[in-house]
Amino acid sequence: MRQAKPGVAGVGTACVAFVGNPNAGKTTLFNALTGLRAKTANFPGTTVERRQGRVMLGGRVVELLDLPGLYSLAAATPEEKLAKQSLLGEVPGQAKPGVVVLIVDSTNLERNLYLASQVLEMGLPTVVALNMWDLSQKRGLHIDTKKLGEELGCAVVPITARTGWGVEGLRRELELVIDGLSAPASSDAVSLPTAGGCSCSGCPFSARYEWAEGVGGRCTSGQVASGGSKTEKIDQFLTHPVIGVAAFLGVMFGVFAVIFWIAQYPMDWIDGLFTTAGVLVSRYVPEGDFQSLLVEGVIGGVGGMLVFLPQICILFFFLSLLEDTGYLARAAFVMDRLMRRVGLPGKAFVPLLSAHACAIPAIMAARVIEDRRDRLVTILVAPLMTCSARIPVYAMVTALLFWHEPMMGALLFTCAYSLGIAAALVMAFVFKRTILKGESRPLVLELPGYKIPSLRNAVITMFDRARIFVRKAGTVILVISIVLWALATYPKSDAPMEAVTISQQAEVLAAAGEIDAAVTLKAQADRITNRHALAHSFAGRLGRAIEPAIRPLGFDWQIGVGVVSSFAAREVIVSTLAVVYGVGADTAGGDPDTFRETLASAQRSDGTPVFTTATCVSLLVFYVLAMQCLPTQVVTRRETGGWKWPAFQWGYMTVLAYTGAFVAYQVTSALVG
Amino acid sequence: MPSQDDCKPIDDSSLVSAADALLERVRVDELAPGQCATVCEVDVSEASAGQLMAMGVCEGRRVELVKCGDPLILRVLGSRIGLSARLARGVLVEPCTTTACPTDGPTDRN
Repeated sequence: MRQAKPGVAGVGTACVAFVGNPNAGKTTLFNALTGLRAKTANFPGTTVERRQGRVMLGGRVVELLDLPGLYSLAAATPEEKLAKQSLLGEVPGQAKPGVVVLIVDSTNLERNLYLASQVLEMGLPTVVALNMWDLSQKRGLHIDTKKLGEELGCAVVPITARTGWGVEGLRRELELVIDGLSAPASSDAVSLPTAGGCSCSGCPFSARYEWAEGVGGRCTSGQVASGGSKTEKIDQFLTHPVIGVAAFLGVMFGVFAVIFWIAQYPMDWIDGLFTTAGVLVSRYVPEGDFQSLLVEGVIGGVGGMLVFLPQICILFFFLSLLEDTGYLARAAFVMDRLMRRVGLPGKAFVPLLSAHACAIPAIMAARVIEDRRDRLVTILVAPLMTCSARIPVYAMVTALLFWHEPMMGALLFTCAYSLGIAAALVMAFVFKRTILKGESRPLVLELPGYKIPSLRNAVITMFDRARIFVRKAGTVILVISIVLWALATYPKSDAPMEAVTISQQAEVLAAAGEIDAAVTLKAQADRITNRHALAHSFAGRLGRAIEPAIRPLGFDWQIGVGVVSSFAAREVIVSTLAVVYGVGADTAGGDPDTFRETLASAQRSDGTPVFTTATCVSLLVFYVLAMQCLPTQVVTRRETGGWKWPAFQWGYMTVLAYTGAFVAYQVTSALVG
Repeated sequence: MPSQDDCKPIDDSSLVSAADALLERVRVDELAPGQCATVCEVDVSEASAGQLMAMGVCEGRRVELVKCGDPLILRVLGSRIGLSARLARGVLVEPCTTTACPTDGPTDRN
């Protein structure tokens, strides 16, 4: 597979930029030409994305560059500004495009020709791809491509990107243009709006639109039949303030049901794969610190990150399908009025809902929100939603509080989910009135005609997002996992006397042939040793050091160790508690009865039980509200362009979690006693 | 069929008072569903104005109100645009005399 190097176009490599309106089928065409070879990356120093990929065209390597979808090149938004700079060759590290492919929706010539007028003005050799040809033909629209080519002064190739029809012709046309690049450009007199002497009546847009209308009118004939009447009929339901919202909730519920249903299988496989890898490494690498680093630090850390991949992939697959049909625009449309009450636009709803599976794809999906402040607020509050990694923690607390009481357990889960949602909405409201002041950007949104979605686009989007996540999150998470491993491992301490005695007893029993009893005793000794080692490690000392701070929450130092060690991944608290309370990490998942009993019988130094009702509630509230997820932080950094916002996100969530847990503990203590 | 009961019929008195001041200008959200008009003025924040104009809601363009409410739907240049009512209040239009759009050039209706 040919690797594209973003930002570096080699000497002599022609660069072809793709420009077009959103919904004109630009991405579909780009994907048809490049497939999985294209890579997505941000423009340097920004969070605006571009896709690049190298393909062979007429025996030479050509770099294709997909610019953000635009309605105009007025440079009013960051996307428009960067697209314009790209075309002018002003983006550092990126060659000036030699050729522009302008994607024009043939069913909506006039609106698309507006952008065309701006692009053509830049004087770059241009090929117009007249997309959705099948649709405009079906509607009885006759477009004279030859005449349109004369009017625009460039080649016009009709295509249907979705089916691939005409893409071969476009490829040939591109080869011709690239071959002719060395030849002097023939500057025919093409009357572009500015050259055409218009009556600019204060609105610079008017002249362009009049030009676009003129060109469109001269090149098309035929009475258009029933353009989008089917779309209108569907929209009577899907944009209805009540039916539309209900339909949207139904669709999203379906998507999540599928995510939770399908994702568990690959998640189990990934989990199994890394467990097997750990076992294999333990077998072939001599016991000691290096083995422990590999198994617990590297394999455990990477596995803990990759386990999120299935949910990320499935969510983006479905979001891409929904987006392609045109449905997501309707979802944003109906949710806009409701979301505005907390100061967010309708487009923020899908990301916030997605955060219930995993905050990472949710934060990545927040890109659709145009306004920077709206997007930031959405990113900041998304991790408050209950993601799937919180479920093990909820399950543990439920087991402690309501053992074999499914109704109460369900109630507790519902409360935890509701608390997350309420906290997110309240914080969004607060942020929009304080640090990120301003009303949400009022809705302006094209409602494109409904289309059959492209599976190919969905698969490519899925791989693309997965690749970004693994590459961006991978390195940072590996480093932090190793740091956390070191904290929990060093300094080393000798096995406690108790464990040594039990080990000796085990050896005696083994020598006497009582293997079962010996194995049980040996396991007990290991548990005591592990517990002792963790208690005396840096993590254990940190736990003790923060004990005065967390005592008002009802936590003892051992829960403190759990909070410290689950800094990078919240679900780690469950296995850490298993170790610090001497259950053995393996038992946490395998034998819930033992785990629950050990935790329930755990005592503080004064002999009172640790997990009282108040402490359980406090722990639950803490984990509903606390950040405790490093991959999310890394993705926030990528999407906000620096460590400032992830740091703030961590800070406010920790304060919120601490305050929430404090209130929960004090109130519950007072009530329950 | 979903009802359109959140839509007001054209308020004659407001039409008349608007006509007194400026020819026959009304806000785009005051049009009746299916009514056509020519945009005379877009008075909204700069960022929103740029978005609107790039999508064709700009002086001299013809728009049609497809669905009223908040947000409402406009047909502009053959595409449909969802628009928050807050923005629509800043778009002043001159209604066409007939409720049906005159068919100069291809339109999107049948």
